[in-house]
Amino acid sequence: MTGTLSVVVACHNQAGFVAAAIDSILAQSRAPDEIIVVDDGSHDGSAAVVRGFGDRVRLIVQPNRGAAAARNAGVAAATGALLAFLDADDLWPPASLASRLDHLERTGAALVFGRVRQSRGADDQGGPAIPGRLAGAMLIRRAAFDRVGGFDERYRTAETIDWLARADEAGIVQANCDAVVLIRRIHGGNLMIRTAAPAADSLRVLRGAVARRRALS
Amino acid sequence: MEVAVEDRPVSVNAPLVVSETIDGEAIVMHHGSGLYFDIVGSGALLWEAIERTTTRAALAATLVAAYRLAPAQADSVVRDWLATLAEHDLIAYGVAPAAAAAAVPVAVAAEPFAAPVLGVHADLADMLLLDPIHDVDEAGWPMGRAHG
Repeated sequence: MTGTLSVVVACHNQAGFVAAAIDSILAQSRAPDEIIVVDDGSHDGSAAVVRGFGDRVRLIVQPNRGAAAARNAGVAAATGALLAFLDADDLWPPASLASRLDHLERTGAALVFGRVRQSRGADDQGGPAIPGRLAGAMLIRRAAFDRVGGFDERYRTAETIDWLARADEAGIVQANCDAVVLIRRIHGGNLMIRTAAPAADSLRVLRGAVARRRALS
Repeated sequence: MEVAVEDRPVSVNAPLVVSETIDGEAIVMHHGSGLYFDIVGSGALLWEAIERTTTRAALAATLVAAYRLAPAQADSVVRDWLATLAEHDLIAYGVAPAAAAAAVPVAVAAEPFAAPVLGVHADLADMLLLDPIHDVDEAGWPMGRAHG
């Protein structure tokens, strides 16, 4: 037995999606020991939706500071020896946690990813299952997370890329399981891809990765 | 009228490629391959010019001005550098004469000339190939409009 498992859900203005995300956590074949939702300054009633789940979900409300800060707040409150993350507009298939946990135990890795499908609606079975090093597809031992440190709150986007670059540099042993563990929901407002702001953050993250490597060499 | 190769405009292969040059270091990301690149020294100087759209002839003139290279050497360096960038699909050539090709005044470089080197990084390709769709929802992260 690997230990207790905490799930951190970061939520900003996802009132229309967060209930399904939480339902998908509650439907896990291996139930987590703790579900923490961090409402990051929503102004669309997201927190009220979360409160509707009663004591099955712990809600933390904070002013809007971005996904990195929301996840960090959730991690700070989490008590589990294992951590998993889900964005409030995404879903986990029922065996998501069990698949990752089984792979973590079998491989002895500190961090396990699974595959990801992108879906454009209830009737969309999703595209191909692709390996995805995304926060929502990750299961990590708490001690390994603490070695890397929290998500960098300077980044409003690309914070997971930065975090994983640091995990790579810290030598965190990673493994990938073949199961689909995350359904990324592509919905109305989130198709503005590759705009200037995310590109700028990504470039800053990459510049940081290059600088750290140069300092080590 | 056909435009001579050295006068064709060369620019960043947008929108597939995004880049930023700060303090003499360019970081370049290719959304199609997931590769990212770092460029310093003479390469960064040339890349900055490419970001503004330039020509092969203007790039060679930049090297002559910055490093006092002989024109023939500068031309050779630029040809090799553009070939390297093209190999990674980082640049695009236009067909019309380049209006913006006027040489930008360049200070003499403090460092001696060294041929441009393209640092190629593939370690984060899997992540860079996944669009950051959740991060750019105008109603959600990175910042709600009411807070923006």
